[in-house]
Amino acid sequence: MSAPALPSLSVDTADPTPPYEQLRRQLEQAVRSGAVPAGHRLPPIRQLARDLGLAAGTVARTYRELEQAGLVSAARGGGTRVCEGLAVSPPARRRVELDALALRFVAQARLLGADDTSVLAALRRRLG
Amino acid sequence: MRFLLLLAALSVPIVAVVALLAALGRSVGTGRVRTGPGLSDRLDGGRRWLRTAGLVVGLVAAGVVVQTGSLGIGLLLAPPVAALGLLLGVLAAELSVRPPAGPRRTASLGTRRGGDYLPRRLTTVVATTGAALVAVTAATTALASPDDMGRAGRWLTAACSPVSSASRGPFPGSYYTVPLLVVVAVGVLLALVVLRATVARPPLQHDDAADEGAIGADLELRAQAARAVVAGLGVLFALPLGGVAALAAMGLAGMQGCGPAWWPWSAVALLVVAVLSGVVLVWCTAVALLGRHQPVGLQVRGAAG
Repeated sequence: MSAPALPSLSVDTADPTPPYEQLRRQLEQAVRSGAVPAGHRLPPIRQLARDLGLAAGTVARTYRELEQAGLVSAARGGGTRVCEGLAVSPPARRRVELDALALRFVAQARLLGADDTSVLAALRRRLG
Repeated sequence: MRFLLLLAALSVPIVAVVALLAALGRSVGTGRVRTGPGLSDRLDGGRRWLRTAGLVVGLVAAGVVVQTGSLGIGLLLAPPVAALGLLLGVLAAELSVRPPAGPRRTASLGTRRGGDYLPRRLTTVVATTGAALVAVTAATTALASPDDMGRAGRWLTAACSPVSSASRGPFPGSYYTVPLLVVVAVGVLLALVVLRATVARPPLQHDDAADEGAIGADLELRAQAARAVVAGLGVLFALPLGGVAALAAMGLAGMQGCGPAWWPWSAVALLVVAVLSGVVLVWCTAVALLGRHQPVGLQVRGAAG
């Protein structure tokens, strides 16, 4: 059985939220939801910085804040890994959050005048 | 040494061509594209012709080497030089990728390592071929002797009786194997550089930066580049191995009645090696030219455990 796909990170440089904070929020959410499993090694700072076109210091700051929050641990030569034994959101809670996201998405889509077929088609395109 | 001067003289225009190709690739071929069918093809964009241009540069350089090398040395070095061109083309394509510049940028949470992109079976075969090349050239270098003009490592000489000896050439001694191994070593180093560039380059971006398919397509393109590198190395090893093994086999087989009793058996073994290297050559050439659409079984490294 193949492992579930890892979530991707995205940064919007036009967003007033600083990029390090955007990354921190996404990573924290991914770790707390269990989407990124305990023990997973995060990409090296230089790789993530290069991929996102950010300064290495920006990604380093994100990792440092996650480490201070006890979500990840960094070891010399071992990279930065998601800590073991974190309380992961229970499935019921994740389902509630997913429903809330879907509600917001559908509401926004309705404002655009999208019908059910268009909404489902947009989701399918996104899921690939 | 003449060939070193030639290599040095060739390296300057080749490096210039790679830099130029990479710069051109940045300006014309790597813009953002929209999602849809054949995403990896469209993400690849102008990088495709960079690889082809590299191969063309390699073939031209090989032609120059054939014209300038003396006593068959140019013929021996031309194929590896062509393979170097292929590797340079892949390098130019990888270096042409620009860092993401748009407002929305996406990155995978997986850790990329060179080993993740290497096709296991082909890599094993190519590594074995490389080891065989080193072993065969070491053996032929040790066996060879100077020719009638005193040039070291060009002939095979053996005593037929206490008062007579026989010589046969050309034989792949140090006269041929040293420059060959230098070119091959340059190719191996270049391949490592290309692999590093393949892993380190930023992902190819497109208009819909949040599309999960784009990350998968980017991984596929990295794997294609790694396959081309391994296939290029295979050509780099297999062609000279076939030539050296066949030449050595003819030399050893032609010394009947002279030399140790194991020489004829070695000639048979070397012929087998030459045939096998031909098989590897065909395989690697097919992968280098046709391997773009092979399925990719990539796994993103970093899962727990």
